[in-house]
Amino acid sequence: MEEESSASMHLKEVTRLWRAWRTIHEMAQDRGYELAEEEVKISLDRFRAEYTNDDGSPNRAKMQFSARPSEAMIKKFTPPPTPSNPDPAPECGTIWVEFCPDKSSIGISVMKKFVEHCAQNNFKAGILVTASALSAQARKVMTVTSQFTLIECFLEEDLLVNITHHELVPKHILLSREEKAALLKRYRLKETQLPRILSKDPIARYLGLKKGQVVKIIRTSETAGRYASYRLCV
Amino acid sequence: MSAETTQSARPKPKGILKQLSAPPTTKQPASPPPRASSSTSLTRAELLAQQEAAARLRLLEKLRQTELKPPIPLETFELLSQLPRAPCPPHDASNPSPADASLVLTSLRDFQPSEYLDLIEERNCLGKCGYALCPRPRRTHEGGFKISTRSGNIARTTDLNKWCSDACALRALYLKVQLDNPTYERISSGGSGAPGGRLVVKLELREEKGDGSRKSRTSAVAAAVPRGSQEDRDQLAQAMAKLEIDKHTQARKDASALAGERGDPGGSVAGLSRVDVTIKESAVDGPVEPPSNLAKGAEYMVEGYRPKANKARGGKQPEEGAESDGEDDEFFTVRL
Ligand SMILES: [Zn+2]
Repeated sequence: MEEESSASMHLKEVTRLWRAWRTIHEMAQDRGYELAEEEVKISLDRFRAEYTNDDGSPNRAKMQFSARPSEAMIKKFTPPPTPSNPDPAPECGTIWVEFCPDKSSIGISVMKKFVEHCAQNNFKAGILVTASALSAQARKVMTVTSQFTLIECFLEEDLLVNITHHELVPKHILLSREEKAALLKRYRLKETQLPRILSKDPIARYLGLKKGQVVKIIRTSETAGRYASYRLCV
Repeated sequence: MSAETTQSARPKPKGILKQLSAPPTTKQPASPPPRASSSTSLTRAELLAQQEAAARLRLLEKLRQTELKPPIPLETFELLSQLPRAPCPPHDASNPSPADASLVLTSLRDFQPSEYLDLIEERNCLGKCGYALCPRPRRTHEGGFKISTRSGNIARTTDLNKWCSDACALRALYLKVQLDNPTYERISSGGSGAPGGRLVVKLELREEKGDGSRKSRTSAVAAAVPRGSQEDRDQLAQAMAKLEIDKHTQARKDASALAGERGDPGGSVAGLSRVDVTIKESAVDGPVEPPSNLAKGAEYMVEGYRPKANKARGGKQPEEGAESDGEDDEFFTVRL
């Protein structure tokens, strides 16, 4: 009896993790990282075969992957060449995603280990998916070190559904620097005159927006068909 | 600075530079000597200066309160969440090693109350008891709430799981109270005991009940708190006790207010005599009759009362009257 209930509990947890696993892959893909389609659209059975222990409990320590930015993403994130810097380096690099095996809340030490791992392997970005919330000081570690590596944290429960697949969420597209400059020039705006989006907004977190970046939002409209609006991340 | 502001407070509007070149408060009252009101103007100047000084003191006080302390470095958190370093068998939460105790007390001096809570959270992340000097793991109750079988109280398990025991919760919260309501003491920065030392929050560990090792711990406290005299400690203990007493006083006050309202002896209006009430029955000399329904317009009455507002409008039904337009006009409405 007890075994049965624990098995069903494991199954429930594995299913939750599978959904988070899919969402985080879709997120990486939407940000422009290169991922194989079969990696993103993994079936529950395959996930269960690969990422569970013998007793059916999920094996979070195994749930990790890295992804390289695609050509298009590198192009988007490379600043325009200037006379002083004719061949600028792209501002993006390999991303590292890891599910935290610790199920209790995350303290300084766990966070530090993750940041160190990202720094040692020269990852430009790191995403830590945790089962429970970060402690206040761990959050501080995350922001302090974010100059070298961009560290982000997501809760498993926030990844159970991919919010961008909801029909009421319009399409958000990140603009490159040139596109942003062209937009401001065309409408003769200062960037502060644009409408804003908070960097903690769920969509902004999904796309990993940084302050100063602009997203183009394409909505469908009953009267106008489609229209685009722009928002500056603050 | 003060001279400047007192000058500007005076009704004489002159250039600031000119005013500054002249010696300020001393000369002005002396310039009109023959007048009798010179003494009053002097006192006024003094009063102004006094107010000025008081205002400046208040400002300084406020600045000190609002001054942002630098945040506690992460290393301190890591260090304190690793404690205690002393081996467990001889030392435990009720009998910490002097070195650990003094380390905790000296580091916690710079903590904000919220940072102290962060430390507890950090220790809990490591599965340890929230009290910095306790080597034991924290409790792991399941579920949302827990009922204490002893006192019958209900507590959140999230609160209970911060500590290994209630004793540790008391010890840790004893420190938190001192951070929340800080008493400052001056410590000598160079060890010379000069009055120019730094002002820090005074902290001490909770007294343990019936401990034989009292001497070792108080010496640790003394090492960390050089000026903490027994008297100060007693004062703090009294303050802590007062928190509890205040609750009782409030309860007593409430009870007496209630008694006063009821007019019981012992209430706040106990001395006042009550109003004498005598009940007179009127004599009944005929058969009881129901009130007549034949009165004109009785159907419009509401519990025996005839609303007057409706009568003026030609005897509308009360329910209708409530919905009539005329009534709405009492309220401010915007009509386009
Ligand atoms: Zn304890």
